[in-house]
Amino acid sequence: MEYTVPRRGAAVVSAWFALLGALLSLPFWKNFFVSTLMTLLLWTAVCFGILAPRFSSCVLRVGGHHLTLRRGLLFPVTRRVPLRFLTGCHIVQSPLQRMTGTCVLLLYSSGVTTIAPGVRRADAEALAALLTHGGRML
Amino acid sequence: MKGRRFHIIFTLRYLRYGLLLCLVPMLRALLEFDLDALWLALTQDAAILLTSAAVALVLWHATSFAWEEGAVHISQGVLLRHSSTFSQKSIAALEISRPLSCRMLGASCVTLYFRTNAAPRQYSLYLKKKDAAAVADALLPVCTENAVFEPTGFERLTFVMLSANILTSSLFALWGVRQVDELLGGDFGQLAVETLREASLFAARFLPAGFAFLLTLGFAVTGFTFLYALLHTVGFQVCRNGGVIISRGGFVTKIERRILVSCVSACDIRVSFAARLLRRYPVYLSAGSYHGGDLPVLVCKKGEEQSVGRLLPGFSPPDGPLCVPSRKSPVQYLWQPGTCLALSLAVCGVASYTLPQLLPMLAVPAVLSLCSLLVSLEGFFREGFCKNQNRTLSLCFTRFFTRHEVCVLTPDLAYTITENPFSVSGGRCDLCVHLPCGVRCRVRGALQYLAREIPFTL
Repeated sequence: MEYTVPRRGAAVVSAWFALLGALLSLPFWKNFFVSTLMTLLLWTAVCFGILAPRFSSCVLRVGGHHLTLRRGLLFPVTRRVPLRFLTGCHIVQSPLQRMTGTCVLLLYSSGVTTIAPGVRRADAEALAALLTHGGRML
Repeated sequence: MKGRRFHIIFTLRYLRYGLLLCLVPMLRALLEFDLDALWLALTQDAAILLTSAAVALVLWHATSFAWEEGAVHISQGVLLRHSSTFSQKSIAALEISRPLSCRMLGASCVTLYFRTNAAPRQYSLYLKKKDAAAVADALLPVCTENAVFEPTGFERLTFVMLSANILTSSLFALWGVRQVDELLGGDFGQLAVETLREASLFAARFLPAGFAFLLTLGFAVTGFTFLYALLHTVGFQVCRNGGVIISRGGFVTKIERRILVSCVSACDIRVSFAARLLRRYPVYLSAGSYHGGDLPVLVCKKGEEQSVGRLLPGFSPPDGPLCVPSRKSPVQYLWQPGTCLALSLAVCGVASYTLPQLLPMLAVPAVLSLCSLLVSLEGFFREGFCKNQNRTLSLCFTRFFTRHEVCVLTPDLAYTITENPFSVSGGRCDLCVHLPCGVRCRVRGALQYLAREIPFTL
């Protein structure tokens, strides 16, 4: 079973990072208007030009014994977690994500928390049901 | 069983927030800088302390615990009551610590470490000494005790040197100076700094001025670190019985740790600079959310790593070679320390004809960079992993100046494989193994096809 992240989900998560950058730049607008504006534009370009494709390249695969999360194009990162040691999952949805039908899925195991940002809500619920009804989560 | 209350020392946990709040009126009085403001601030501080003491007492009164065979029940809260039950099956390790303050009041702090993330990672209880012993026996009972490791003589000295932790000791020293200042009312910190300055002036008669200060400071910190380690390891003893590993020791702070052998997730042999000199390697265990603590459970001689099997029958040294150095990239290992070394040498070169008196001080980062380069070079030849016949995983990785040789005993692991365009073309990757306690073991330049196979063959 394989789940991917749609572009709208990746765009919403990237928008959060861009908004965070805008909030952090607030104290500098008054005295350094031009350089702050240039930095903010650059940060926004990074968010939507680099982060968004990275998030949308995310693929979640559930095999017989393992869950694999792979993301990235030039610098791929693969996370593998045994299904029997997954202890819980969490689906978080902001208002914008409710409008776009996406969410952030958090999967908990003993040593690490695996985050899949921008997954479709329906896919996240199907995965949670599969993990729960399969009897593998505590 | 009838509920009992925590020890009264539990109230200090909430009183410290009151102490922090007291800073607010004091800051305002400092800004206004007159006697009326100071009197008002003192009155407000007294009210804050009395209120926080009352709240702490009410919370303490509302907290109760009870234990039965195999479980501990805890009930807390005034307006919102919540009850927790921790069963024996969920516990991986527990620690009973008795710092001086607790010993003076007859209290103990019991910290529970759990097997998985389903429960909190750890939970602390402040109990009376007898209650703490009873709770520990209910959760991890101990029948008889046969010492597996009890260092004496030279082994005791090597154990002290290998247990010394500069960071912990420095933090403890700073906290101790502050406490003595508050108790005695004098400026003990200022006295310590003046003494250090006198010592560095004496050293400056024989050494360059900047280097003399660094050496004096290093000597003072190292001396205090060893003194702290000496006190921390008085009467140290490790036993194993009934499937539980028990370690006890300490002079000022008495610590007893009980670790369930079946929950041990990894055994870490740390080869630090001191360990190489002494040819003795400290062994740290992690179990569930317990990450090993500040003291090793065992010190083994170089070449006798199999002696760890006395504590852990499942321990296994690597069955085969851990890596293929010819497939690795030297640049990946050497670029960071190499760059630091080159920059340090360049700065030393410039200083040799512009500021020769600073040369000894500037040589320190060059020496540290050289040591880091040598450790990275060793990592190039030794970092890797290997699956063993008894279904354990052997890992070797380097971090700062220490080489870690880890035997992973649990399949409860998560793996992260990181690649870049250069490593993909060479069939390499960085493998990160996440242990249940949260520690990450990162192996660089591992063979990609082997790294992908690990989860399916363990």
